[in-house]
Amino acid sequence: MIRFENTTKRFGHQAALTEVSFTCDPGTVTGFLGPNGAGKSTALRILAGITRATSGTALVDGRRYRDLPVPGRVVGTVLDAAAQHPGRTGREALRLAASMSDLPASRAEELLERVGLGNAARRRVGTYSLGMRQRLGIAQAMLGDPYVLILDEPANGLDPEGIRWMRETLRVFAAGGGTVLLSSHLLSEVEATVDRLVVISAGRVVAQGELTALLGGAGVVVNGPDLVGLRIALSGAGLAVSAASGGLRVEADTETVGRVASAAGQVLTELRTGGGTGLEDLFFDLTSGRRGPTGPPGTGPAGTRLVAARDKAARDKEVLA
Amino acid sequence: MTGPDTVAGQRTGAGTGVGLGTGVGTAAGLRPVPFLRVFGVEVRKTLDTRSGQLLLAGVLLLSVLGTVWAWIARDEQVAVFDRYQDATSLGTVVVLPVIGALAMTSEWTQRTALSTFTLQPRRDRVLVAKLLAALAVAAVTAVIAVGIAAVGTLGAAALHGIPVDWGRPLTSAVGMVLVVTLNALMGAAIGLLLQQTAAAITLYYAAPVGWAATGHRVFGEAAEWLDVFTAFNHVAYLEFGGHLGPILVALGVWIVVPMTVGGVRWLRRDVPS
Repeated sequence: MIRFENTTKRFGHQAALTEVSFTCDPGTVTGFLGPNGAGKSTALRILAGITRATSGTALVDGRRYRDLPVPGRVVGTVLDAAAQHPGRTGREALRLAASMSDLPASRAEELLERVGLGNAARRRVGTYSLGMRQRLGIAQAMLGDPYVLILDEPANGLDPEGIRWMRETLRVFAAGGGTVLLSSHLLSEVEATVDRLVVISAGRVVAQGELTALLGGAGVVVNGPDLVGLRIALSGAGLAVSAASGGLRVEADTETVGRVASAAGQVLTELRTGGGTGLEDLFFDLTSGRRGPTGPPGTGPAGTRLVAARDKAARDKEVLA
Repeated sequence: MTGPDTVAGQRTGAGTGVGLGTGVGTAAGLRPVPFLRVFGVEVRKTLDTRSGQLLLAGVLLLSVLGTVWAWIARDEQVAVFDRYQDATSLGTVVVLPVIGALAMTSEWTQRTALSTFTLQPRRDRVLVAKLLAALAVAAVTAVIAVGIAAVGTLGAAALHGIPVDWGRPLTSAVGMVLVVTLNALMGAAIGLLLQQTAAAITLYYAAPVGWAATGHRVFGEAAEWLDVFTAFNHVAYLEFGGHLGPILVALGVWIVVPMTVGGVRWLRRDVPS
């Protein structure tokens, strides 16, 4: 598990991170979302012990990174896939990494095959595409069979097939009880991969919570042959319903809407969450100038929506910064 | 250096040790990687890149070329070991310090510091391993160069049908290995100070030469205290009597001080993005 506690980082007078606090639990994939320059990389680098926090702590498995006896066996990191020596072969890079975690060289061969670099193993990394370097990075991160993964923009440079592969890999990893923290500025990538979101803007956490709750705040879209009947049924169940292009927008989750429709004998032709647009609105609301990061929480349009989402998802412990 | 087939420090959790990771495990029961392994990795890093291989090949090639040139160009009556030592030292004294400097700078210049320090966050261990690795590579290369000089001496005797003058071969050989190693250490110290390859190599070649050229004019005899070349010359012939003070001061200023200042920076520096 991963825990940030009031992590603050200043470069001179400029604050890169201000009192960042959040936790990532085993079995989950957490998306660390924010625009470029928001402080995502700085936070991940502090977590990995290669940048010193000005104050506060960041812990992996309850310990500071540098106190882990063999970090590669606990946590895999890909902080910059391009940061490999161009003069080494892919195989040599992995063998060095295996050796540094006291692992056998055979482990390097195994991972090269697993990430689909078996045929490129003898080529120098300088000739690799960014996508191949991402795969090499994942291979290096997975060498020690860790149970925590820290990935900075892992989708960068991957082709659609690579993104799909990455998504599968992370899902399997989390399903096995692993903890994943990945950063991204690609909303669609995050939405398809993560369970939880931590949104950061100008060095501050501005929202965090379950993806479904944050998305649910944007409502669900439902459609059917009998829109009038459906609307009556949903309103009758105490849900807020409004007209939307292509059906009705309901302030509830898909399961609730489905159950109400089923009980009323209504046929549905469509039932989906607000989808990418919801998260995208949320993202831009939270991170654009429309709502300054220093402003009180829950005042902007997204904030209102977040408060609504929190009320609806009372089981969640999400916090508004 | 391909690592053992056993894995030290078995984890106690449910990690399977195979596949892309099940994501379950615990840090309990893991022991730190032995220092010898960290050292081995650093030795390997100096040898496994194209630049490292080219530099070492260059050292040996220059030593051989110097020897062959001496065979052709010299009109010798006696094959003197010390002169063949000089002929081979061109490669070792000039090029090996670059390997020392690269050992300290390339992680930062090539950005591999990211991988290195995430896999081994104990930067002090990495630093000591790197210094020892640079010294080991330099010393072994110097020993090979001394061997080339010995072959050169015997070859000259055979080629020209002249007698051999070994002088004091042990003193000569030990002195040469010491000087080459100290040069490499100074390269490493300046690399550590600047942590940038091009700047380190420039400073390594320019600064002591500059001091040797101007220091004596300004400070007269006292300049010897900071003249690292004079110090190296004394070491080469194992002439410590009466020079120990200036030797130690010069080595301190050109090796120990940059190493200390650079070492503190090495331990604390944020890895740049």
